[in-house]
Amino acid sequence: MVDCDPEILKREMLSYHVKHGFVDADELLDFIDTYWKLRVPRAQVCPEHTPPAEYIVDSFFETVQDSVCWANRGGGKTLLGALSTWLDTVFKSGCATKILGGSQEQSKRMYEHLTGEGDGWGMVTQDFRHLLRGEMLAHRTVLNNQSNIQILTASSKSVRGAHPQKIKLDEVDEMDPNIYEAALLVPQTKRGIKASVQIFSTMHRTYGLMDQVISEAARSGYKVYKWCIFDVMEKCPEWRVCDECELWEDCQGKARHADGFYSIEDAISKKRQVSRDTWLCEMLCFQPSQEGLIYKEFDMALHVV
Amino acid sequence: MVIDGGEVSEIASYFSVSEKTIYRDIRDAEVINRHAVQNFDQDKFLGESISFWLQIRWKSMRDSELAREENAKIGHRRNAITAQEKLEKSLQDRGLLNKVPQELKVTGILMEKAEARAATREYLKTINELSGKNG
Repeated sequence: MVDCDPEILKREMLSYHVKHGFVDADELLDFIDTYWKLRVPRAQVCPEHTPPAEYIVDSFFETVQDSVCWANRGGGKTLLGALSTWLDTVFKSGCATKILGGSQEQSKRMYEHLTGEGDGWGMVTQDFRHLLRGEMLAHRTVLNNQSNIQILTASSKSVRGAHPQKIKLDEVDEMDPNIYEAALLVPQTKRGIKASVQIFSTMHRTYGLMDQVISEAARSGYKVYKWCIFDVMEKCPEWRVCDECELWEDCQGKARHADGFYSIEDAISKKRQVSRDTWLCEMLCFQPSQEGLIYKEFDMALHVV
Repeated sequence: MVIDGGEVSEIASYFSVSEKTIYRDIRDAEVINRHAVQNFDQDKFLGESISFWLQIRWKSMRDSELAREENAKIGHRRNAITAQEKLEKSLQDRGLLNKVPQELKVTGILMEKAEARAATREYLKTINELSGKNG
């Protein structure tokens, strides 16, 4: 019997990539698929959107310094944030990352994606445990290669202190604008690793912080990665008939080319449950919902002199 | 005492004899030891060893047949199996019985080659698929 022990092979391959990095985007994405059974959607589904894989590749190879990921609910923002953080931490020596969640719950979710607790995917699998220096703590994880991750809830205290190379702001729409401003000053280039600010959020508040970030993205030098539910949806099988599908209105057959993870059944169910405004805003990443405003039809351009 | 690290002068003093006498005794001991080793018949020893384990196995099997209680039968058979294993191992260690490898571990793959890395990833992904997706 020939036994190619998968654990030994994984260890040897990991050790190679820790020393030599990755040749190109395909190798990186294939590695992610192999080690975490996570297929980051690569297909261009909506022509005006960005496949999530592009964010992971740009972040790892540092071709983009500052970025905003504007994506739908359940679109994998926190998961991809945890993934890009872990890739930086493992494969770049001395890379420090500070992650600030919009709420304590949001920070906890990011941590769970690293550890695999709760609904978390579990980036720190057994294959990577030997790289850890000590135990993983809820607020701090340190590796033998001098890299570390701090996961904190956004507060005036958490944005002070050390200056890591990377800062990730998860769900900025929930953040205090003053803390957000202070957080932008945190990252600093060190040890050959570029400083970067990465923002992840849905845009669910009219004139909220995310709305402001997106409006000023071009001026601030942020690259905007935007993906909606169709960009992360599983490939629509041939047996589904478009004419009878409840998603046809928004899909128009795009899901036939998708290669993501979001269940079509879940998408149909969500569409039935929520209002059209919420669906457009939170799942298709259209303009924020104007529900709750006094005059829904109010238009700044039209009604303000 | 020499083997235990005693100095020749100390030993001579202890027995109240000359150092020359001690040196002569050491030389005689070495000659006797060499003679004993040369006369050791390895083939004979191995034959006796094989015979010993075969007897243990045979007697254990007979005792198992004769025993009335089930637990005793099992105990004797276990002894017979152990004797058989010892015998096989003894013969394999001496190269008298070929050992067919039960598994072959492939390690030390040349990860420098992109093709080798791609093939390894494909193999690991197949293992992943067979073992079920994460979620």
